[in-house]
Amino acid sequence: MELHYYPGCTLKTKSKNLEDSAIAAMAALGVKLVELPRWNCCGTVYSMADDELVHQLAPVRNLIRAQDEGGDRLVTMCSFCYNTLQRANILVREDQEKRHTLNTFMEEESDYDGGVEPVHLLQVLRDDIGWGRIAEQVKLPLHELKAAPYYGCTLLRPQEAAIDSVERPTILKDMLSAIGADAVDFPYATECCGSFQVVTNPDFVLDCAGNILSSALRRGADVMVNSCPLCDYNLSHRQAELVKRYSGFHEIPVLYFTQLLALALGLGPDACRFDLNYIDPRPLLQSKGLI
Amino acid sequence: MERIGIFLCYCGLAGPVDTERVLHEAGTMPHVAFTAAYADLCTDPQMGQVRADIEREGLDGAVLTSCSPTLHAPVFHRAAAAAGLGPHQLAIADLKGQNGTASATDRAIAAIEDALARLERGGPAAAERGPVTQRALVIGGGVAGIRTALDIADGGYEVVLVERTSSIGGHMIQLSETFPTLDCPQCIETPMMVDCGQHPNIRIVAYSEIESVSGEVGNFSVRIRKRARYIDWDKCTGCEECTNVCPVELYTEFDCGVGTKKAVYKPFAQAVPNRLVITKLGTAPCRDACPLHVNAQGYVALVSQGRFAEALKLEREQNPFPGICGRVCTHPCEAACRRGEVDRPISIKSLKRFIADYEQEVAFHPDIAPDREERVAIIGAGPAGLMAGYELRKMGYHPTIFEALPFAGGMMRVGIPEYRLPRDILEREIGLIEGMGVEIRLNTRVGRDISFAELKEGHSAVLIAIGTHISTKLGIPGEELAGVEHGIDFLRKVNMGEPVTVGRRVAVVGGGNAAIDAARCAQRLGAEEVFIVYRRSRAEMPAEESEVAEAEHEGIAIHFLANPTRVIGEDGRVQAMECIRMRLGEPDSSGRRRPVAIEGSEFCLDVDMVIPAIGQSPQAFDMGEDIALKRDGTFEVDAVTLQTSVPGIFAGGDATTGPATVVEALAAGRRAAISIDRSIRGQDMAAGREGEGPRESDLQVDTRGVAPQERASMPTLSLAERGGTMREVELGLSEEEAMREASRCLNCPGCCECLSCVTACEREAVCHDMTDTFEDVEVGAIVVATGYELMPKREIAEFEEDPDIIDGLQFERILCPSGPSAGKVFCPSDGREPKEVVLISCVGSRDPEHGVPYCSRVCCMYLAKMAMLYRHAVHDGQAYVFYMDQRLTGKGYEEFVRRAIEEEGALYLRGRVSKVFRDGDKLMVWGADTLTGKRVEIAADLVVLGTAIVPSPSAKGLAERLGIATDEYGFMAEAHPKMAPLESSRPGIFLAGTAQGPKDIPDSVAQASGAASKVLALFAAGEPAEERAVSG
Repeated sequence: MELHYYPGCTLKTKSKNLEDSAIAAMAALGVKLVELPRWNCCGTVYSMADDELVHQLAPVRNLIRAQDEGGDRLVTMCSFCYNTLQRANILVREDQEKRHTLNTFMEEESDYDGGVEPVHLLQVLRDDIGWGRIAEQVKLPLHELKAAPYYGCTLLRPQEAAIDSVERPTILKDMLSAIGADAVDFPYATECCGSFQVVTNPDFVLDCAGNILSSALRRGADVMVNSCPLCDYNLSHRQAELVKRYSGFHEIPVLYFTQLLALALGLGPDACRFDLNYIDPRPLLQSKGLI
Repeated sequence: MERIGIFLCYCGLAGPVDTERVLHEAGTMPHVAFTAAYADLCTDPQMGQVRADIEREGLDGAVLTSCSPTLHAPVFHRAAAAAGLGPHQLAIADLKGQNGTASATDRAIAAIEDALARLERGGPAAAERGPVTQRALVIGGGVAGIRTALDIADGGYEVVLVERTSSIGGHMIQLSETFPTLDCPQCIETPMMVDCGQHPNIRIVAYSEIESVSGEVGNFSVRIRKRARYIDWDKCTGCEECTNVCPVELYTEFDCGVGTKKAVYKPFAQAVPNRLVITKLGTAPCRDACPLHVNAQGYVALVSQGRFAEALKLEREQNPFPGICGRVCTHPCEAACRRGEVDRPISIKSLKRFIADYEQEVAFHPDIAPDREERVAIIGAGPAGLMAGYELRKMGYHPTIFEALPFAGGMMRVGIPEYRLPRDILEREIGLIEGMGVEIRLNTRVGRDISFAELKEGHSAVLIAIGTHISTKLGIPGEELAGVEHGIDFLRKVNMGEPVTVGRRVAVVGGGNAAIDAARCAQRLGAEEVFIVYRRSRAEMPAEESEVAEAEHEGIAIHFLANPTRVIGEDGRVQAMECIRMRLGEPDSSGRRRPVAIEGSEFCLDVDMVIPAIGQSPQAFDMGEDIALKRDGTFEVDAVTLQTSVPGIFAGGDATTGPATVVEALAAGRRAAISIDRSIRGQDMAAGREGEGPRESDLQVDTRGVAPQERASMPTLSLAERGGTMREVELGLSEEEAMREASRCLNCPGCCECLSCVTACEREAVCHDMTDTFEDVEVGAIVVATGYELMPKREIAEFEEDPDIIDGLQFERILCPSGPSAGKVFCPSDGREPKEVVLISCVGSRDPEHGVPYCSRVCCMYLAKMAMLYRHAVHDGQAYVFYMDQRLTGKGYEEFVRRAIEEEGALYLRGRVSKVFRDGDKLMVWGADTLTGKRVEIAADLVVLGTAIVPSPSAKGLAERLGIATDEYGFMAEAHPKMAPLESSRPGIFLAGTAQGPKDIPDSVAQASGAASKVLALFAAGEPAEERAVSG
């Protein structure tokens, strides 16, 4: 199977570990991810301004690119890109007038009516491949690894863009179970990491991260698993400060779901790009006998 | 009709209707002789005008236009009747009727055309009907149904009150106290219930449902299904002696899961009628799965109560060998156990063994039928033969078992090693059979010591149960070498105490229990190294999983996917075994994947002894005649009767199936005994035997919300203690372990049929084979008062499933002075007193996302009441109430809530709760206080959800059977939302209480009295009010 994928800016810079491990893991599962040509920034944050359609140009243009390539789906790995593309697409599908304005403005592009479905890689794993088939191909079941699935906001909110149940999602947990890991439920799994508030209000984000990480630690997690470079940044970069601030807090590696998938599929630590994680997970994985 | 008049109402046509055009068009319609338009047509003067017009113009039909046909019909019919027109000469055109996108004028014209067409069709000929049956049916025995029944009965008419549960009282009797006066329902509803029960005009039909309804207003025929109560209510006195001895504790509907009840129960002390019922939903899956149908649920329940002797007695009713089966049974019951869906199955086998060991001294005297003359011979004293002997003896026969070996027990004696089945256990249980009068002749081989012909001659029937004592050969070179000892022969020698020499390095070939037994014996007899060679993988191994695990624990290595190709010898003695690696191919006829040799992968194992244990077959003997055998040497038998090709000769156990399990052999013994008895009596051997043997269970068991508990693990002898001895490895559970393990049972079908209640009831009222019955009643009117349910908590995803997140009715029971804790407030998870309680209103209600946009009307008030009652019970406790807004429109309601806030210290927070989750022993509640704009986090002990009031799940089916409409949410629909709130859509059927929509107790009771007055009016008039057949 071949699928077009949209990397987005961060995957080419700070989050090579998400992209590299995803491509390697999907190849092992028989899916070739083909990078979309001439892609541009997704727009980062979906704009809710009603009268500023210019913010929708970036995501819609990417979808037009996908349409031009002849695909009806566009795979994303970054949750934030997924959210922006998905919501822009819903807007194009549902609002005839704005669709017309956008198409008119981008007259050099082909017309677009929302025919490309943005999907997150987790959906491909669940709906196209299936947990059962993934489990069959696991070479190194991650037994003994307690992994806390962290969803954040953008995979699940708003409801019309959600890839799973808004209140009780299981998609990450199901993936972890399929690769043999012990998925740790924790109440902060769908709480916001603070997102781009990190730019203007870093202390607020530190509190968010502290709550989320401590909650997972209290439930016995060894690692956090997520799918978003911004969550990853917010949760991992200031753990040293959290150690000083909260008694009993200790550092916990934050990993992309694709890294554990690649590990379980037997692709080895190099393919997983653990070297790029802010908190090196390798000592822990070694202690569990996984690398 | 030749001369029809059309009468238009101006006010009814209010709006953009072109009256002139309507009148003009109407005048051109066929048979229309007169048209007129009047303002306020329904008023007295105008009705007089209509009457005058009809008479003057000599009209024989009339169409009146109106805004609300159902409400205007009586007025119009009366005027028409005064002018001499019958009910079918008048039609009413509904001008409010919707008709697509047509203009109001076109709609009015179409409505008139439609009314004319109805006039032309004419009404149905007036049905011949008898007088009104002056007896009412009230469906539902809650407070509304009770009030209705009492009012009608007080009016002098008979009432049949049908209630789904075993007592009337409804949800109201579950409540702790009632707002706004804080009377307790036990004080204010019980007198009404008792009155209802004693009223000469009321007959309560409880534990029953409406099966079907036919007829029409004044003359309904109703069929009532009386569900099996398993208690004869004519004999029952409500004394609860049966409840006291019942070992089964179940979730209780009445206490909403915060208390338990017994399987035989009365829902609450004041129940009316004061009678008991047994919860019995079918047969337990464990019992169905057992080839012998041993009542596992029954003895497990008794063990949970510490009633070990009774448990053993119950077990022995189906199986006289609990000590044996408790050790070596392959327990198909545990595979069927539904607890396995939650965590792991109940350790039924260990519990069986526990009671067998614990109650060794319990006498065993099964009932034996009067002696019979006919003699039966059984060949083989293995499990099949012994069981057949036992069953035949119970039937009155004196069977004789002929056993070739010097011991009884068959494979249980010479196949299964002593460390798994100690000899004293075996001997004691066989001794009990002998003690009953079953004769066992040891050292008597048929065909050597006594001829088969002789046996046949002297007995009415013969059962061949000789097992499979011949080892299957590997069929490879070198098998004849010294040091190759076949599995069954090896085990027989070991188990009979014959001298055996084992090698230093021993290879056992095979993956069944015999292979594991041989390997573990070889090790005990001094082999330094033992391995098992098996041609498939671990998943395909037929041996008991626990046995394999023990073998590995004892240091026996297993080579999977390997098969011997030859045994290599020197000087006639084994030196090595050559094997070849295998891989798994396609599944074969047994469903297991066929092993295929990998060419060139041969390897050698250095061994000096080889024990092939790859299969077994029966030992041939001279039968003197032709009894059909299968290709593998086992006997060909009829699957139902176990008769061989020769009439009067039966065969069972391993001798027909090939090597199988003890419990299957026991079941075959019983099956054969039944066939033999029937054949001797000359009865049909095959008839009606479908129920024998293991059955697939289709019992629906709801395991959601069951908290996982650890399964008891069997204590075992340490490795050091095992070395070189045949001491029993498994040590058995302790009394505490057994009781704790037994209490994990979910009691899937409710009643366990231990029959303790039968013994306890002095009035002989218990009747376990009762079935549903039907009663037909004739009634003139029906009142539906079927009440409501709460939306299930699990439909609301914001809240985790947690025992301390409860709904309103659960908290009512916890607060209730006559509830499970006598009013002591507790957390269901651990019983401690909650110090912080969060009450949340509008959970599911006023929430279109959950399908309930309406307001449930009572939650604001009952949550305030609960905050108050909680404070009364826990003085230092704090109650928080999250609300959207307060809806306090009843008399005294606003004052009540003010009291809760100002005097009882309840903290009211305007805002919604987004999430509740457990954090240690607290429940974290996240919400918003929209008055301060702040997030709120409360660490609570107990969270109470004011969940939406929804129609009971059975309401829809009932409405269909009654032929009445329901609204979009499933509540019973009233005929008119304002002017006919008591009538259903079908004449003669009325509505009362929350069946029609959420309401509080005062409203329910008022509506109940209203519905009763409707019934009384009908009965007093003696005939139904004029039908509105043409009104549309």
